[in-house]
Formats: sequence, structure tokens, C-alpha cells
Amino acid sequence: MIEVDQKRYIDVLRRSQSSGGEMRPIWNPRSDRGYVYDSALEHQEHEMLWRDLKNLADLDYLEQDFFNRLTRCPSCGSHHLSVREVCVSCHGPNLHSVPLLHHFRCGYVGPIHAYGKDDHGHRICPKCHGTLEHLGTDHDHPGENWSCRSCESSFQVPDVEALCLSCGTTHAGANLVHEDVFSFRLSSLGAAALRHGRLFDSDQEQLVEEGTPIYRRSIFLSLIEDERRRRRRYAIPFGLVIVRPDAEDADDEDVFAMARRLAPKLRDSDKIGRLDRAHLLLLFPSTDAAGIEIALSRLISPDLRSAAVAVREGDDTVALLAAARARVTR
Amino acid sequence: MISGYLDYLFSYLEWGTLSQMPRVLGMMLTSADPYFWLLFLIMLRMTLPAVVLWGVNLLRPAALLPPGAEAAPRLPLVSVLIAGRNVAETIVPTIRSALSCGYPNLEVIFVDDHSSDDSVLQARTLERTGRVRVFGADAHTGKPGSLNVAMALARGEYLFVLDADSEVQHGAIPSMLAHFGDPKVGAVAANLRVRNALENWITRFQECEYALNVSVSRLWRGKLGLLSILPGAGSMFRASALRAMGGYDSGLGDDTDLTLRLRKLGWRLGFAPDAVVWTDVPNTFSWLLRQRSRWTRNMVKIRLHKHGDLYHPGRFGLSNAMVFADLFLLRVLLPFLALAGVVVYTAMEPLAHPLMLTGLYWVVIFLLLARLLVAHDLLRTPGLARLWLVPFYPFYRLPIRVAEGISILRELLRIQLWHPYVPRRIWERIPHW
Repeated sequence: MIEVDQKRYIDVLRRSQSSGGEMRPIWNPRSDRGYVYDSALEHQEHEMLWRDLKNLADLDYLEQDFFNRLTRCPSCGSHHLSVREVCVSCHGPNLHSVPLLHHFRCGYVGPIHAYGKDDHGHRICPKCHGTLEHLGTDHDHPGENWSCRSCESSFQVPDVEALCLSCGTTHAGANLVHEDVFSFRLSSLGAAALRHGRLFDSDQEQLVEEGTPIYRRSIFLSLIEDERRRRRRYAIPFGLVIVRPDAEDADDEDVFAMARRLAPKLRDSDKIGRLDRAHLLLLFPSTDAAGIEIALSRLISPDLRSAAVAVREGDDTVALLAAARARVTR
Repeated sequence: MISGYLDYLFSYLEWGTLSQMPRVLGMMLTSADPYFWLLFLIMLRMTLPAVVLWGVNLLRPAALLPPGAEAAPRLPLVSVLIAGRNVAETIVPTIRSALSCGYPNLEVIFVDDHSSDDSVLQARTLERTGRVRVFGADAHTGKPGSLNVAMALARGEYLFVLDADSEVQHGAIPSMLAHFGDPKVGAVAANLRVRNALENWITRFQECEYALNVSVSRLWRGKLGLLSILPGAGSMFRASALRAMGGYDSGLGDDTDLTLRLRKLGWRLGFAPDAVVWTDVPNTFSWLLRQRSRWTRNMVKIRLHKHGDLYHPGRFGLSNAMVFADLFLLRVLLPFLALAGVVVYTAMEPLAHPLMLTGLYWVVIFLLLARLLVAHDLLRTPGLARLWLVPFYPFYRLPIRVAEGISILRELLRIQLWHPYVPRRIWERIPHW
């Protein structure tokens, strides 16, 4: 990593620390992206900041959390879109929806405006002239029907289409581009980088967090994927356990201390990895569910919380870990 | 005494009893006993129309030809209305058959009656054709309600009501439209044929029944203006006629009810033998009995109770009175009398009329064979390979007759009127005929 990038990344981490350890997106319709992380920055500076945040998250110095989802024009990338229902035949937006009413007694079904009203405001059935009193008891609403004023088509489910207010093109809802927007939090690695005033670039540092047996998050996730592939190919089981200090306000030092306590109890082949600042993961290769139970019973102590994570074929690892984190978080 | 009586009963099974048939026929024709005349009249009523039809076809075939295509309105928009519930397996082929039946100006509207399967998703795969619209109802409303929803959405000048497990044969729509050249025609029935006829012996029997009671019967009834039912599985309506009536009424027997309401309003009803719609029939006997039981209950409910006023020639015309009288005599009164007579004469007085049951059996077989041959000659259904079923036909019909008889009694005595075909919340709100 070149010197200039190192310095800029440390600046970004510092900026994150000074804003409470977290950089949250701020909606800004005048910006190209539709949001900024620092409203004081110019467009080009913000683009640079956006890329740096992404890179730092990939390098495990920041943790990214899903914030929202933005829809963009597939032609020009603009977020200035008008999304609306359009006719399934002519794709015109000049639609109106008409609720249908069904009168139980005579079976008549017609648009709501076909039913007149009596002096008491009750609807009158145009077929049998009976009074409609209570929805659900003597009449119901089988659904809504859309009609197009342009081509007179009628349908129950209109198409969804977006008009880009920037380039004027229209696109079917299914073709729109979606972008996940994230907020970024300083990770323990990021905090350590700030303390040392540098990023951890040596070979060993790129695998484990400096001075600890904890594998960096991105590395550990790829180790889990390796184990999944091994299980799929050779039916060799593996176990995964999530742990965290019992104290809600545990800091980085508590987590490191927990990792140091756990490391001697593990086999040589077992690995400790980072999930986020408060949570670690333990990977047990060649271990079935019974073995995990035994490992858990050995590791359990009153000052930590732990749970086994069942990784099934087809599960999304990141989503699975988020669910596991919720289980051990009070 | 007992063994003698048993010998008498078993004697019916001997082939030699066939030789008794002329004797039985002679006895029936010469007897002063009114029961024999009753049987004779039933047989005459069942057979004569088919034989006359056959004769007309021989001597003046032009009289039976349907209206030519030149009589049809010029390519009006036809809306095909399909209502269904849990029909995921059949709905796509049904809609496809309608789209590919050779008529260019049509739209298909499928109303899903709150299915628990993926009927809506299946049907929606065809929405991209631009000619199919799918409406998934938010609540179970029953078939009449669903068809009324479809009618509310339809834009066509003519509405073709189709079952979700049917297939339209190429050319069916123009054949039906040809009848609407006459502005007094309000609806036209398609010619229903059995799609799963080769599945088992139950469906083969039903193919024969459809040939007699649907194809041939509707052909002569249509010509005489006596058509009494437009099948829900395939009928075309003039949209203005249907809309003026407010569509289907809630409850059982939607197709029968609609037919009689159209008749009361003075619309002519036609039958298009060339407009073939293939439909699936029950393939198990229990399903068949349930279906026939429901049809019979509908018949009593709708024809006798709801539209019982049709019998009055001064109110709704002679043809409607004839339709009513024919139905009442043939479907209600005579089966009970005939069955009672057979029981009385064969069980109670075996020695008074020896071998009568056997003789009657052979008479019935002979007449049935004649009717099936007429059906085959006129409409090519059923296939001649099906004729081996004829000797067994009375045994197939007997349990159905019993089930129908029980259903008639149930309806007349008003025992357990509700049928799950109608959702309970709607049943509680409708008049119980």
C-alpha cells in the first residue's frame, strides 16, 4: 500500500473516530449518489471518501452495517426516479383503480360506483335493490381493478415502471439498479490502526490482528467458506461457535483477554476469528455436532456468552452470523 | 318355496331369456295394465327424438345444419371467462387452448376463487401474451361470484364461459358466434365431449352418457327451442343479455339458473354441435355419485323450487311449460314410479308376470343401442368400440339413479340444504330455494 493511501486511510479512520466511531449516510438529493457521509465535502472529495470507506471495510478496519436501499436509473445511474404504476398494455401511467363490490344475496359484482345510496347512506345493489349494510356480512370486496384511461385496458396488477427525471428514459421496475447503502463503524482493527498510527500491512498482520490469535474478519469468513466446501466435497463436518464477553460494555481489551483465555483450550487446528468488535467466532474443523457440544461445555465460563452456529447447505454465511449475533446479544 | 323363488330370480341371468323379449314386448303392448303403458311412454320419450333426428338427418340434412359463418357478427371481441379454485394443474392448458382456438379477437379472464395453490401464479405466466388477465379474489366467493367478477372485468360483446379443466377445440368460437346472427339469440351452448374418456370404464360410460344426454339431446332441443341448460363448462352469452340480468345469482346450480332466467326473458338459446369443448369427467365412482347428487339437488332447487312458475304456459309461453313438464315427468315422477313398479311386479308378484325384468332389460339394451348408433351416426360420438359397454349400462346407471333419487327426496324434504360448493357466509345470506 503506497504511503499516500496509508495516510488518507488513517485520516478516514480518524474522521470516523471523531464522529462517534460511526459514519452514517446523510440523504442529499443534490449529490450524485443521493447521499453523503460528510456534507462539508465537495463532490470529488466525497467520491474519494466513499471509495476509502468501502476499501477500509474490505480490509476489516471498518464494519459496515446495512442502512438503506437506493434505486437508480440503469441508463444514467441517477437516483431522481419517478416510480409509478403503468398500464400492462400501453404502459401509460394514466390509470385509475376501481374497487369491486360483491353482494352476497344476489351475487352481483360491480364497481363501487355502480351501487347507489339510500337516504341513510347505505349502498343499494343495482341488481336486487337490496341494502348493503356491513362489509363482510352481506357484501365483500373481492379486489381492486385498475383501468387505463388511455387504452381502456383493465387489470388487477399494473406494471411498475420508473421514469428517470435526469435522462428522461423509462425502465421496467425489474430492470432498475438497486444499491445498498451502508453506515460504517470503526472495528477493533481500525481502533488498533489508529493507536499505532498505521495500517497493518505485513504478511502476518494481514492474517491475524496484531498481537492476538484473532483472524481478521474477511480472512475468517473465507476460512468458513473453505470448511463449507470441504464438507460439501468430502462430507467432513465442521463446527462454528460465536462468543462474546458477558459484560454489555465490554471493550476491545476485554475481547482480547477473552481470546487469550480461549486460545490455550482449543486444538491446534481450531481458529479464532473476528465477527465484529464485541463478537468472536471459533471454527472447529472436522468436528460434528456432538463434538461441538463437548467443546462448548469446556469453553463455557460465567464471563462469556456463547452459542453454536449451525451452518446448513445453502445458508448465507453473513446473514447466519447476524442471526447468531442477535442470539447472544441481550 | 324360498329356493323356488331364488331359482326364479336367477333365471334372469340365463341367456335363453333373450328369447322372451318379443313375448314381453307383446305383453306390454297388449296389456290393459297402466304400468306397462307408463314404461312404454318412458321408452318412447327416450328413444323417439333420437330416431326422428336420425330420420331428419337422412331425409333433410340441411335442416340440422348450424347457421353458416356468414351469419356470424364480424369478428367481435369475445371474452373468455374462467373461474376456478385450486386449478393450478389445469388452468394453463385451458387458457392456452382458448388462445390457440383460431379466433383472433379474444381476451381471456381468469378469476381465481382464493385458491390455496399457485393457480394465480400459473395463470399469470400467460399474462404477457397481452390477451390474458388474471384476477385473484381476496376471499372465497364461489363459482357464480367469481364469474360475476370476470363479467365485471370483461370488455367483449360476447362472453364465453369455460370451465378451468376444459379445452376449446379449434374453430369452436366462430361456430358459436354464427348463432348470434339472429338478434333474438341470447346464448349458445357448446358441444361438450369427454376428454378423459379412455381413462377407465367409468369415464367410458360417461362418454356414452354425454353423447346421448348432451350432444344428441341438445341438438334436437336446440332445434325445437327447448334447450333447458347451457353448460357452465362451455357456453357463449350475448354480453348485453347477461349484464341486463346482473349476471349469475348466488347459490347452487348457476348454469341451470342462468339458462332458465334467460328463457323467462324470452331469449332464444342455441346449440352449436361443431363448437366442441373437451372436458374432464369424474374418474371414480364416488366422485361421480357426488357430482350427480349435486346436479340432481340443483335440478330440484332451481327448476322445481326457484323457477317452478315456468309450468304456466300463460306466463312464460308454451315452450317453457313443455320444458318444465318434460323435466318433471322424466326426472322426478317417472323414475320413482318405474322403480316402484319393477319392485312391485318382480318381487311381490313373481308368478303373475314371469321374466318381466329380463324382458325389460333386453328392451332397454336394444333401445340404448339404437340411440348410441344414432349419436354415432350424427355426431361421431361415442366411438363404435364403446358399444360393448351397452349390456352393462343399466348396472352402471342403477346406483346413480338411487343416488339421484335420494337427492331428490332430500331436496323435497329440505334435509341439509347447504352444500360446501357455496361458502357458508354467502349461503347464510341467500334465499334458500
